[in-house]
Amino acid sequence: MSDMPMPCREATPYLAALADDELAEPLRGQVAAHVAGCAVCAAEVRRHESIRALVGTLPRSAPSPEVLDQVLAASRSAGPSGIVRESLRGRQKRLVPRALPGFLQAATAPPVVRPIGPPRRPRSAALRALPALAAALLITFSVVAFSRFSASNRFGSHSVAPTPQSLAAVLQTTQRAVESKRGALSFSPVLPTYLPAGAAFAGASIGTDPVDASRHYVDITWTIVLPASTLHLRESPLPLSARSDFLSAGPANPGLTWSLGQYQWSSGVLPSQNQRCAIGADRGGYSVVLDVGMQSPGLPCDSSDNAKAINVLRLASLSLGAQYQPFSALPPDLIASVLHFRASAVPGAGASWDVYADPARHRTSVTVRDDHGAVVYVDHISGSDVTRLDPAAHTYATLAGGAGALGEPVALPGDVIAFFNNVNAFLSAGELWTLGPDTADPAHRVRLALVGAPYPTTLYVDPVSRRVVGAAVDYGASSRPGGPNAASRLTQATACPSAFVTIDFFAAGKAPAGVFDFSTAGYTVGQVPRTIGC
Amino acid sequence: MLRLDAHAASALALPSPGGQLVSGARDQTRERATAEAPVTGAARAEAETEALITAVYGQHASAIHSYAFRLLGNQEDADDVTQEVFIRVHGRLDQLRDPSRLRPWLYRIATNLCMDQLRRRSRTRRIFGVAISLDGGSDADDTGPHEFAHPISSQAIDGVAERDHIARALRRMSPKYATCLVLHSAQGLSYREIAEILNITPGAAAVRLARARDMFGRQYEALREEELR
Repeated sequence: MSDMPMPCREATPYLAALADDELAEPLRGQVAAHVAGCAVCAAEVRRHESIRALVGTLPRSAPSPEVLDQVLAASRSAGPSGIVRESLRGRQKRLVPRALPGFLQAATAPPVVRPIGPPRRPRSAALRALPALAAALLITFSVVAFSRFSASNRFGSHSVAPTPQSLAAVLQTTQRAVESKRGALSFSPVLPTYLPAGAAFAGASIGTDPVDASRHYVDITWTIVLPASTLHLRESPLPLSARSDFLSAGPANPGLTWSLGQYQWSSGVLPSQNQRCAIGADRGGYSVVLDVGMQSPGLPCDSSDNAKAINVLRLASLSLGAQYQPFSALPPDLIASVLHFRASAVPGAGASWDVYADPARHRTSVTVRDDHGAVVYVDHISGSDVTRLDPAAHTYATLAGGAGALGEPVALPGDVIAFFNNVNAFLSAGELWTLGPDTADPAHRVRLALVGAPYPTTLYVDPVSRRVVGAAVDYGASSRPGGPNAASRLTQATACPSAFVTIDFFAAGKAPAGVFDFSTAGYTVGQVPRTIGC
Repeated sequence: MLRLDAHAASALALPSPGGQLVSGARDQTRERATAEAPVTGAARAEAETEALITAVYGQHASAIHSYAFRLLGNQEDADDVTQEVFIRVHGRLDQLRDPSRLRPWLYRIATNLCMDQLRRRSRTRRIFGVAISLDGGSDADDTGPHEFAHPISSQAIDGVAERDHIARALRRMSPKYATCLVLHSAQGLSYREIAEILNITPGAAAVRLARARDMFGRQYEALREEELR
């Protein structure tokens, strides 16, 4: 091999591969040596690197929740011969239904999951006898089954082999199985409306409380893929404190306590299942306990290494008896929208900032209030020019350094934007809960709850465009959906000032009139308040 | 590697999303099916297939969707491509026992579908006279649906424009080169993987990628100049 340095014309074809780390030795060393001494080729390498970095900033996305259901449905209908479709070209209608969200169709279509209740009355005498016969058979079967299962006192015995299905099919199968056992229970069991993708119904069985044989509980089991495990639900007429299958962990696992609405979940373990992590809640007349196999059973239940399992517990528990429907949404149109947000130094209190930003016209208005709500000053920002008005003193000043020098929340931080950009990923993961049309504006806004948030957090989506149009955090509520250790996405109480109370995106023409109007008429140049910090 | 708990180990015939999921899970389920009554064979076969598809989907759907989204620029088209790709998985699982072949195969199908879609957009525009071509550089060229999320971050407006430029520059490129650039720079695939997906040699992939970067750079700069005018 020659020690002569490689000339430019020989190195040039390899510069892109060098930038991409795709060259093998000794060629890599030769080209790198040339680049180290050649400004032109070094610039070319940097150009390749910068383009790679630029394209690498394109955001990630996630499929809408219904895509997997459609894939599985197509797989089922195709049978073993497979599906033949060579191209999207010529397809007359899209495979994924794009109708209104499911809950908006509720008035015209039967819900996927119906409340558990008594069967419909048959129309003839002969038919009337059938339920009694079926019930007798079921009771006989339950007694036989129970006599087998109770001996081992297994939590969540599997009576049916796992069969992965779409979420709707799994929920329907579960409902039918539990309905068939409803007669043995003294309460109306409640079922989840959320299960992770790939969940499969594994079985439902009736058991008897070891202390009071007159009390029956129901066990329901699903298999889940991520984490590869089982999810169990046991509903018992006994209150949580009287149950022998669940031992409260007290404050040991604060990451496994949460609430959304009226039910407070607390953490515990299953003593008969090798201290398997579980959560429980009283629901008035009965109690429910959910458990799932942790990814790292040797670590504390609320360890971050068990995050996926904890999330399954959280979402499944919060969905019990709730109306969860798959939904897809798009990020807000940040270019064409006027952004309005209100942030406070202390969550829900303290000094506050009301910000209107119009990125298309490069203008921002910031109104700063003190702890008592009185306006301290108003900033008008246009490009790099900042004019601060003091409405009380009728003075104004031009501030040097532009908006970036203010040290105030004049724009949403990157992590909040990232949250909005990935809204569909959160929806797909079940972290955003559809609550139905917003009662204040049902035609234009659908509410989504961010169930893992430390404070009740609601996102609003336009049901037609599917774009996010707003968000709100209720710092005054006592409810803690994600528990005390929940990671914050829209609320950063520790960083100042970044506790966002409301965030709204207006179409440019629908922003409140006058928010960007600015005049110094009647004001004189003079002292203005210094920037308010934390 | 995922761990199975005691319940899961006894009950699951589901594959883990790890590398060996296709062949391992199928073999395991087949053993179980053989040992049980033949009347459950069809149901078990269906369950087995759905489990495999679900696991493959869980492992790759996000990446495939992101790829389609980056090329096509909107959620619905990316959803359609993702759905189509995984529907096709159904008929090909037996041929995809080698997990190392699965990812390139998924990308190959996604690439073909995306290119079909991009060509169809271009053709539609010509028919209706809205725009001239993908390389035309007119504003009308940007009428295609695009929903890239534009950051209005703390560093604000510059970031918004930046990402918008990237998306628009990509849309102005020939699909043949745009796919290559996204596969490498956004999806993080190697020359060898790109070559397999595009059915070319690694050397040809390197050349195509270098040309794609040149094209992207020209379009990106052109957009900057247009905005300054």
